[in-house]
Amino acid sequence: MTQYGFVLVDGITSGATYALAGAAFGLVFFVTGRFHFAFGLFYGAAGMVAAWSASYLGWPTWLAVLLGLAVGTLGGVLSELLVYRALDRRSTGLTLLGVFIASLGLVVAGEALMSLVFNQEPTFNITLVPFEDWRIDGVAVPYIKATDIIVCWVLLLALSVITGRTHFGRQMKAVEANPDLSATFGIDPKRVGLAVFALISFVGAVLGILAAGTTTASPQMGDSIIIYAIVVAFLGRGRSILAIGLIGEVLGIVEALVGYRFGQLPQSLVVFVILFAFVVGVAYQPVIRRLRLSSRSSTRTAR
Amino acid sequence: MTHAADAPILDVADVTAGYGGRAAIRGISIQVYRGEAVGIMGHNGAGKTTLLNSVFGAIRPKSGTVMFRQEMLSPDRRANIRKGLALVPADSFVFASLRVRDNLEIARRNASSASVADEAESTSRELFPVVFERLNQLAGSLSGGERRMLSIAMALMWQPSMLLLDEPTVGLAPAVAERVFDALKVLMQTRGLSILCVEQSVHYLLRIAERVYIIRNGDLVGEETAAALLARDEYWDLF
Repeated sequence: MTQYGFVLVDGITSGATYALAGAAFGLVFFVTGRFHFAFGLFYGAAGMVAAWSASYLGWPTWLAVLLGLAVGTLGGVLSELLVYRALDRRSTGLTLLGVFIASLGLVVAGEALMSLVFNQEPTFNITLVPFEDWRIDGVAVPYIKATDIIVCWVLLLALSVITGRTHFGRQMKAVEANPDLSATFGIDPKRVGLAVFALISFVGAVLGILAAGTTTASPQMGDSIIIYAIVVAFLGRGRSILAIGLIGEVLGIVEALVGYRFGQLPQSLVVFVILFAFVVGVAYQPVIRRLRLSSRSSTRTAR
Repeated sequence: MTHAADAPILDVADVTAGYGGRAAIRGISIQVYRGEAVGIMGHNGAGKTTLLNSVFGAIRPKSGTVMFRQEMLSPDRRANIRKGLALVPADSFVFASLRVRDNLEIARRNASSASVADEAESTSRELFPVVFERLNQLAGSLSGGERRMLSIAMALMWQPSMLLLDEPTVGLAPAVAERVFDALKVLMQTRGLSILCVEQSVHYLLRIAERVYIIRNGDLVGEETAAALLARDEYWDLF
């Protein structure tokens, strides 16, 4: 039972991270229409810079965290300002694909740059909280995991308040629904888009720094989080931020349980199986509906 | 009505505009005076919407000027809203996935003060009570007429001096269309609102408009008074 408790704590911790990353990726994708694959890059950059300045330069933790937040947030904002908007102006009608490719390019170039700057195989750590545990019914809950869960859920609640109860949230929904009509009613879609980039890049930076406090930071640390973010964002489309939080948690817990029961390889496949099932479900929705209708009508005819 | 002594509230002079390299309207000049409703008529694709978009700042004219209250308008919709313009587009005119309340709140932010917005809201509440009975519904769940009323209520929220309306009766039942035009007439009489209205239905347009400009293939081909239009048996030869 205690073993399952550990697994559950792991699952909830990962799930909270997936949930927050998914909520952030979903916001930027659905509001601005940008497939911001480089979300993972700036997540990694924030974690790397924070861990590097704390462990290599010996800066105090708070200063290292601030630097990491600044780098991650600024990186995301600059990618929108300098890369995606430039593409927007030049490739009308190909923006989604163009942004995706440019974003992939940013990831490759950014990770290579980090490897160069921080040496070939850079690994750094940052100690955010003491290496101690809470004991809950014999289950050890490390401080850092508890911190992860709390910070992620506080940020999810904050995003929920921002999107659901503020004027900025209404503006985001308006731009998501119809950018041109938004402009007709005095909203500047570009300004809203940039603010969304700043918000989600900040969230990504927080996640990156938390990850660097949990495991070793490396330039490629953002490569897997983006996959989870995409899956959670698409599963949660049209749902509230808190529902997205629950989707992330379910994904994290299922993944942890599969890992515990069947090993690491099936565990890494969980997210792809879920994504595959979702894509198949969406793609075959009309076929399934038609089959249902025809089976209903044949039942009626038989009667 | 004669306006010789007044300066027009809207003065469009020799405007050419379009999309990409193509000019959808060429050398158009029109005037609208304070408290006046002016119609724009023409066949589909004549350039009526392009003219409204040029006035509102949604597209930048290739040449010509648009003066509003003796000030040059720029292709900046937010700035033009602050100057007192409002546009109700022909389609997709409300945020369907947002509640009615949120739609109104978005528009409310353009008012110069809370009291201006409150006053506008109470006027709209009188004119379109059905909209305010459905504040917590999604705008997309309203009927076509209710959505149109909501869009006009939204555009009135910052008490604009001039309303640009693009085909406001499309898809509306005759009784609802008449109610919309009656509400517009009230606003003109009580608030001195000026209206530039693109409308295919002469019947509805003449409920408010005193003059009508006719556009054909991007060119202004004529101007008719309401009385002259009413005297006609057929209108289509105009287009």
